Amino acid sequence: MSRSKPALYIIALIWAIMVVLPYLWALRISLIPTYTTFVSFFPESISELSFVNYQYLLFKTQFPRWMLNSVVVSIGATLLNVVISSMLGYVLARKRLPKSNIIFGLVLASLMVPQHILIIALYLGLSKVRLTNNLLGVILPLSANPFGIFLMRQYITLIPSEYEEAALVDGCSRIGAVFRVVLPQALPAIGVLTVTMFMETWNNFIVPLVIITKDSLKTVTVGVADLAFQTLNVNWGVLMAGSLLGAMPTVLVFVLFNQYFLRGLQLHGGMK
Amino acid sequence: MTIKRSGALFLKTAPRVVMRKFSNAFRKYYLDLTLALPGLLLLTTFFVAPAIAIFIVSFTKWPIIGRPTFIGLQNYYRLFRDEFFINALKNTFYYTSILVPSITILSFMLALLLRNLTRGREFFKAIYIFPMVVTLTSTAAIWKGMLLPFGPLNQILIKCGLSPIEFLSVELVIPSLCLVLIWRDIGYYALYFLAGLESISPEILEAATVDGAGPLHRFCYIIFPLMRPIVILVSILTTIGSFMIFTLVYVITGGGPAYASQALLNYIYDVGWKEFRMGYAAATAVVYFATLFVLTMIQRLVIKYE
Repeated sequence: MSRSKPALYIIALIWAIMVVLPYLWALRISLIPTYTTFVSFFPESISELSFVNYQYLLFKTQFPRWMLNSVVVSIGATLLNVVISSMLGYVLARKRLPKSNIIFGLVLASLMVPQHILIIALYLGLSKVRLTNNLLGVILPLSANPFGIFLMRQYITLIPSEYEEAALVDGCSRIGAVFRVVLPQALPAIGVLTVTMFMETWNNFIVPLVIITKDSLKTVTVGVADLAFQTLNVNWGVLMAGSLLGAMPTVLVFVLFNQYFLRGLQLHGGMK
Repeated sequence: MTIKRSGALFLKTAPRVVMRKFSNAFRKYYLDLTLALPGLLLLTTFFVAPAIAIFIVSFTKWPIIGRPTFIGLQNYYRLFRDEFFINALKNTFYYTSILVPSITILSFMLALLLRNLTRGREFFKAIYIFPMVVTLTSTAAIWKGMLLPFGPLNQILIKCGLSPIEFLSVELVIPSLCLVLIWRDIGYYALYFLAGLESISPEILEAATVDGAGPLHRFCYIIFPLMRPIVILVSILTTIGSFMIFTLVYVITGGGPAYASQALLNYIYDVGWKEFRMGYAAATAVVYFATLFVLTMIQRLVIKYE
């Protein structure tokens, strides 16, 4: 391929600006003291900036609690999912268990069913065991994500079982062989799974929306939606501040673990 | 005599044999069983059981307080005469018909653009998928402001000498929401296409160029045929994605104005958690899944037939 033309760079740059502009606008609105959307895109003067909205958000609303809940939910669900996926993925990859293909078929079938559809049954079931209005009631359904099992199974299939056998000959226990020999080799897949699961659980909206009604137990996605739905006037400055702060963790994870995320996308793509 | 003895022997040894077989099997598989158990438990409790339950609940009348009563197919019968359901179904098809072609084409174009950037490709890639990284509720809240009658989009239109547009009016609300989703998703789907484009070996393209093929020919006869599997994949993924529209509608319009933007999932949510008709909501979910399933199957069949 020859050198690229400057025109292409101009188009690329224009789209990049279009992508970033709404977020810059949100940042701008969040830094204006009184709530209004009649401002232009670019600040007229720096003196206008203030952090009143952020102060309000952090001290007058439940926002810090929502953030904490989201952290608990996404870390809990991610860890649980990674652990169960690695273990079940290993079993399905080695196929020692009779009829393990049936289990794998079950995993593939679950992949076809979006969890959104099951939300009514999940709600009814969880309210029967009194897990509604409980963070555990959000963590458990979110952690039961079949994608992780599929991913780990596919990856561990590629790891030759001779490594384990060698470890067994050397006197390692069978459990030890799984946790000290196989799973360390699956670390790239575990990394991809951790990052994608964290993103997915943080962004999930419908499960916490349905399971939790108590204000202090809401996750940040539901909390921000609440801010957007105040019945009288929406306080735009506070809403924008909340939107930006609420998105920070996933953005941070993306910036730090960019490579894992991109590799996860490709795996998602190869899956269907 | 011998029969009697062997019978007694059998009675004596059979349980032991069974036990030994069982314990052998247990010893052989206990590790795999213990490793598989937690995952299986979660999967059955939160996927298999709810999928069965939703089917059963759909045949009942269940106001959340009180007991469900079996009413057979009445929910389904009622569903197809429910104008709000038909409206939501129509809206979902409307979303799908806008989103699938436009996202597929535009993200393909964006990928072609990225493929032709020799320097800074990684930088632009990172910026283009940024909206996908930001929580959808946040993006939705921000666009709720952007689309206001006096919001920044209209301000730009006025500055350019055009008349402002009422983005969230009955006629325009679905195209406006689609605009947000297209804006958000094309950078993400472009990565699928880009991965495909990068795997096309440059020799083939060079050979074609030597043979006198222009850019258009190269695209039609080499790039596009090789990219077909990805076109199909992206169109299936966007179909599923447009059926799953919920958050954006919930945050920006709440289904309004006058139910004009209500998607199927929003309808299910309203029936379940505003009207508390669980059986009816379950029946809607079943029909919704069946529609999605048939749609993706048709897509796959068309592809195979071609």
